[in-house]
Amino acid sequence: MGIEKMSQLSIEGDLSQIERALMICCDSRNFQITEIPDRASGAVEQNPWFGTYEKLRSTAEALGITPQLCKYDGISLDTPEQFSQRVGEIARGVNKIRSDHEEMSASIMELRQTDAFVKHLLGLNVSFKDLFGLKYVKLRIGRMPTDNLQKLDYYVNRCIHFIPFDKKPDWVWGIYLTPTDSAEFADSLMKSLFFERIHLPDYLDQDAKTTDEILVHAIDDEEKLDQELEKQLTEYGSAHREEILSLLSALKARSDCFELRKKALISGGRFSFSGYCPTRLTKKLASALGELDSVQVVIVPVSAKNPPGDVPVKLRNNVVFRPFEMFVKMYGLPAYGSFDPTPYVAVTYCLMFGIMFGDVGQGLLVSLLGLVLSKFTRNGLAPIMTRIGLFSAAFGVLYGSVFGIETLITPFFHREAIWRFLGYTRQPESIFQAATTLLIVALMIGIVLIVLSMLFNTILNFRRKKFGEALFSVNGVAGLVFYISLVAAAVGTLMFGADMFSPAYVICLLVLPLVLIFFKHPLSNLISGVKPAEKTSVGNFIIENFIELFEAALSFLSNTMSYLRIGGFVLSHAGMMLVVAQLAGTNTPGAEITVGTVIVYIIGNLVVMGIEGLLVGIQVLRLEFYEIFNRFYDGSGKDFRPVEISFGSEK
Amino acid sequence: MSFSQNSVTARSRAVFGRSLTYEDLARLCTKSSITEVAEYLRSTPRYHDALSGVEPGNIHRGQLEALLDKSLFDTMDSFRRFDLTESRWFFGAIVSRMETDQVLLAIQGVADGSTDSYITALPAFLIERSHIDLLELGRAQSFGDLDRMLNGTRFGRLLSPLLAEAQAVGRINIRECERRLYTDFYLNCIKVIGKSCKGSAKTEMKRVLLRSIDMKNVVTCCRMKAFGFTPKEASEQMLPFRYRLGKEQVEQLMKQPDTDSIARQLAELGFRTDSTVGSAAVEQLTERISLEFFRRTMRLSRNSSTVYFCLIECLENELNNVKTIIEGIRYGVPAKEIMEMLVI
Repeated sequence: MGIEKMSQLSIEGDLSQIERALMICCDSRNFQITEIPDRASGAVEQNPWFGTYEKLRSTAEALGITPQLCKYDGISLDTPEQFSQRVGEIARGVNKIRSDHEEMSASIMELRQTDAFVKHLLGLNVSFKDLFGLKYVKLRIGRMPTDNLQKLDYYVNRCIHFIPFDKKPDWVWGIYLTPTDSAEFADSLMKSLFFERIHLPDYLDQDAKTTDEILVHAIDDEEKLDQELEKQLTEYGSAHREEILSLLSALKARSDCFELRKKALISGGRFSFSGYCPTRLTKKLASALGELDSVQVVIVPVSAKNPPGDVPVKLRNNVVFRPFEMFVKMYGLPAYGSFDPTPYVAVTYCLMFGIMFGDVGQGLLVSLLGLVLSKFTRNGLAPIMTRIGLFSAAFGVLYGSVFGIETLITPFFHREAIWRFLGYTRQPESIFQAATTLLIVALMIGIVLIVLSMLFNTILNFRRKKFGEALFSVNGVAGLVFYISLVAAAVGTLMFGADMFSPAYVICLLVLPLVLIFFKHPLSNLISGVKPAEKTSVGNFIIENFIELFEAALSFLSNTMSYLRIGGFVLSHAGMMLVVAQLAGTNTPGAEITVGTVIVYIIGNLVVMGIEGLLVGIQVLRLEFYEIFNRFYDGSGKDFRPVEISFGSEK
Repeated sequence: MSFSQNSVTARSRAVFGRSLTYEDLARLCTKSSITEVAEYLRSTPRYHDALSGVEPGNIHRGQLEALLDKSLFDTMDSFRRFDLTESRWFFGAIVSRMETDQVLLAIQGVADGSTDSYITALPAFLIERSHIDLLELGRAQSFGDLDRMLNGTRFGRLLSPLLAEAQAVGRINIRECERRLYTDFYLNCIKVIGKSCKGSAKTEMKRVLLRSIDMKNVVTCCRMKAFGFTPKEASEQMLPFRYRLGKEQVEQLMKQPDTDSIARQLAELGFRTDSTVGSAAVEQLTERISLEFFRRTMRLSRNSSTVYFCLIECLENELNNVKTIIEGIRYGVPAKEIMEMLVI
């Protein structure tokens, strides 16, 4: 569990083997190729496979075939020209049906446009035959960009008369009239002004209303023919599906490998490239590469103590904790050689969520929803929902809440031993009567988590040999002593009446740690023997460190108080379910259960789960990131991005 | 840097981020019709809004190009509305440059009797933004008419003697018209930069502008060589602004036999390209050099005027690439050959 150990692989060999070597690396899905900085200067090399691949992809799109990787061992084609020729043959077959289909679609569209246009003329009682049959005047109908209307002024004396009858910001629909002997000039001119002429078929010689009816029937007929062509296209796609997918995969692999070649050093008929691979998988990859003639692989394990700057990080956790890697990645991956906080996040997240959203029924439902979503989607939150739902149900058992009904299971605070232990003289009726205890418990959880986070920070800094940080920082030994002492003194004084703020206690355990934090920088420099890079005046030093100290002291207080929300949400959940019970009318003893009651309960539970589940999820994440991670975690790692052939990243 | 400058820089980079990628251009090249090109462009964030109102099946080349031109102009106009400071004079300069092009087209129209073509090609979006009546220019039947119509404008002041002479002899020196108009245009730009920018921003902005003029002069110089002119005659035809292109460099350039050797000489002058693909013509070479410089400057500069200027140049280059693709597809040029013609 934790961060995968990485090894650096240097692969070199005869240039003829480069594509096979790259393909093995891609197939392994566990090799991240290293960028060569000098090559990243924007040089553009033509990829000989890309054009053919794109052509086939658009053909596949036209056939409704979604690209997906499949085996292409059976393909005997080798060169880009051979691929181009075969793809051309397939494309021609498609293009023939497609062009008929496009023609038909265009015709349908034209008819629809004509119909839409004719609808503008429904008030026109004159037949089109009469209009178009004028002997000395030609008439054209259509639309043109509104912008170009102003240009018509220029041609006002040039035998064109445009009559606009529907004007929109972008287009103006209308008719232009021109003398028969000027028609050629007028048509060419209007075309250059982007006039889109709408041709009324000859059979439309009636008035506008009849024409509209004829057009509606014509559209229906052509749509049927178009469907037949679509069927032909589907049949062609089914017949060639396997070949197209194989060719697509082969072309994609070659095209991507060509792009990857740019990351290799090629000189004197030899190639060389390097990258990272998880150590446990290097032998497998190296043996696969070693089977290629003249290819040598050198494996160098990456040291955790002094890793190179570009080493990637891959998290490896068991199936229980793995979904919570998403939260860690969201904040930033840990640096290579440091510590993976995923298990810690998993445990604290589940616990806090369970406490804040404790309900047996709702918890199990969240868990079930998570299971269903995991099965049918790739949503990263789904498996997290499965886990936190179980914790929610477990705490629901403690609280005695099943879908907000608190009479089915006895809550823990109803047991006499417990309420007496908590200092109550009689049994609290509801959780609201134990609110103070609940908030104190929330604070205690917060204190434990803050102390744990500071301990992590101290141990990590000792391991990194940053002794100054480990001993004198706010989240180091000095901060830890100050915080624990302050909490112990406050608890002793307020809860047990013991006055612990004696002068010796205050000076040794509270003032001294603060003084050490104040002088952290000079003391750290003293321990490490490093001289400060720049000198700071005494005044500046005091101001800077005083502000830092003040901010640190405040953060202890605010971070601890921040955990009050854990208790707050327990009360909020109980409060919201109380509202649901009141709306359902079941808050009084002996209330009758009706269909309405059940419906209100179902809707109420769904609303509470939706609103509160989301809020609690966000609030716990906030606690993780701001109150816990801030104290020990530095997400400066780089994600492990193995090379692979995939259609996933395309538009 | 002021808040306004920061916002212009951020917005410029955001607009640049929506540029067509190498893959987009490669895919466009594989299309077989203007309809497919329009459909693809409509699916990109850059041109989606511009093409949302059209029906790709009905669109033809001229209309598509006009819409793309308008889209670029709208982007520039959006900066004018967004920023009340420097984008204003930038927008004025853009309109002024487009007016210059239109005036030259109007002169050309009179010279070869094709004023109808001038009117149809006139970008409609420019008409309301222009300071001169561009539609009226289309009515000119002679150079005398043009002289009268341009009277009182900066174009009239610069072109009046040439138009009067053309009216008398019946032939216009269009090259000289272009040189005069562009000299005046760049002179105004430099003056405005002097007034609007200060300190390092002024120096950087002038450097970027002069560099781009140098590239235009390289093209002029090579064209003049092709027509058999001497270095001295070529220099007279070039814009009178220099960054690194002195008299000696012009002489050297005119001695170069091909584009590769021109590229080497330009590299010695500091005008380099990282591209490993050879350039078919000197225009492609200079545009590549400029594009790489603009992209780099846009990423590194902290001066919003420079970033905005580079953005406009990059967008214009992108538009030219799309137009090249459209033309290539129209004439049935194979995708690979179209790709080689692009400036990327």
